Amino acid sequence: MKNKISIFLDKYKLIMPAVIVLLVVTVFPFIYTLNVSLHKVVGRNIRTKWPWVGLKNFIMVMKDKVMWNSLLRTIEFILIVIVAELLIGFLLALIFDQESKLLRFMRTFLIIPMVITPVVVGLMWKAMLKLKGGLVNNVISSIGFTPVPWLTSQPIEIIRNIPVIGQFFVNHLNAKFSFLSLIIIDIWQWTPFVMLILLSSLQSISQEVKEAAEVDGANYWQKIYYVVLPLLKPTIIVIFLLRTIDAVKVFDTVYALFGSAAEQRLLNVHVMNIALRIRNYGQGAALSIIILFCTSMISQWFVKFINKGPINE
Amino acid sequence: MSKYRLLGYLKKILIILLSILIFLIWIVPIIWLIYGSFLPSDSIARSDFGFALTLDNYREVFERTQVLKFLKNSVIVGFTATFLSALIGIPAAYSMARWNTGGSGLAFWILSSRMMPPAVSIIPFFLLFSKIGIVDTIFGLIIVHLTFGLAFVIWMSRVFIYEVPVEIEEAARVDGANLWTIISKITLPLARPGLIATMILNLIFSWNEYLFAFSLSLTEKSRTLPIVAGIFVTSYQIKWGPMFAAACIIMIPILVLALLVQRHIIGGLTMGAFK
Repeated sequence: MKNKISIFLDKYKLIMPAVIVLLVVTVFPFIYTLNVSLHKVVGRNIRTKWPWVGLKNFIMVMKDKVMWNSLLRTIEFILIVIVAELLIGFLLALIFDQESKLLRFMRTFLIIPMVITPVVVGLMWKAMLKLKGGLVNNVISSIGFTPVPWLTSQPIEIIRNIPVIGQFFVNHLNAKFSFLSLIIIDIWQWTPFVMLILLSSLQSISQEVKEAAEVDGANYWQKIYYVVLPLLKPTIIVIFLLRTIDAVKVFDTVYALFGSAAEQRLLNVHVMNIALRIRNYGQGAALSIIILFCTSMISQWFVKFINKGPINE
Repeated sequence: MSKYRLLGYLKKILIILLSILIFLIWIVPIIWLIYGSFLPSDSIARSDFGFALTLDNYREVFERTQVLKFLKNSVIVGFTATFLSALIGIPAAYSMARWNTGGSGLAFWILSSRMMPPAVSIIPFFLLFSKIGIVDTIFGLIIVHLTFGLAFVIWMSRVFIYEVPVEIEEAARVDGANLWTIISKITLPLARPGLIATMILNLIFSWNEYLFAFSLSLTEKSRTLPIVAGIFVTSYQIKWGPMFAAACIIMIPILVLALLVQRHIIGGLTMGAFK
């Protein structure tokens, strides 16, 4: 009995400091944001009285056209990069799934893009994607194509020339080079991550399963489709959730490339702009609450998976 | 039979060539950034690989900006936030790993505070910090970094502590050791490699943080290193050389740290969902 009480005391004694700090740095700011979102708080009255405005800030957010455009761009960005990273990552994982010292050596260096400072990644690509003299366009013109205006909001010709829907894509779905560049950069930064996870999952599939499929007469692609992919399903779902969570956070690279230009804004840049440039804190807080609500649903989903422990040990 | 072997060799060579090509796509930009930082600005602007290497870019970064101050700020913020996160987080992680304190509710809270987009806390931090007068201070930045670091350290250390066999602790308890002795003499030393990796990862994330460094720092007083590269990018002109040099100054420490903890990076970036 005495032992039980002392464990009870120990376990709360150890966890209390962390819980208190977390309350102060997460729950309190959240309640504070909620409070700000219901008041008119702008640059001028930041230190004086805040008039109560009810849900007006939320209505303002809903009426904000730039917000809807940024939201659409963000959703589109997330969907495109994740699908592309999963596809490319999977192909690369298949290529790298060999026993070779060289491949293992190269794998070590592929962790670099996912850990280096995102703002450095943005600036690095800003240099490489320049219209004149950028590394990418130098390569493109040396193999005989015309240089591409990567960092401008010019429409992507190939997509615009698709009959009927082409113009719609350009006008409403961001079929522009600047958006394409953002996508390419994110793919560069995160495909190795997706690839390395898929690779370790691939290698954890037992050889017997693969051999059994071969005995049954399956060819390489059949084996991939009927045996490997179903086994990778939990991994792919978790990658999908993780990449969504991370892609929602993207800010630094966009800001390094385009600043807060409204045409290239993702939702985070828009929040920053409302908060620090326009200084309409009430409206920014309302938008923050909405974003937080949406992302916490995604993380809840993720927690369900992760609570079972590592996917492949 | 030998035809098959020949095909096998060809396939292998093809795969190696393909993987080298893929590898180059990912590694050339990094090498270009490092190499370019030793080239004059107009060579970079033309992507002209010359051999006229120079240290002028670095000299300009050191002369024109307060890079050393930013570096110092980054080091102070990164190390303090990581130290505090470990000091507060590791005991909590122990409690969660051994007794499942707080259950799944606490786990969810911690994980979701790690996963929220940082942009949503610009407004509360900015307003609260202005009220108590810690906008544009190192202290304010440390609090922000603690927000993200603490959740990360708790979550990751929990796994590493969980891996220490509970039987060893029981044995020590039977021998009369109290909780403090058990944790400091048995659990922590056994979980040390994982815990150190966690702290290094936290340091990397802290080092890379840009959004708050830029939105809470109004003057040069509390700016951290990632700000320095952007100084050479204005709407009038971009000074490529110094920008590349500044980017390298930001990036090189990360490369070193990352190679040290490479085995744990996937685990760290996926919050332990994968190893």
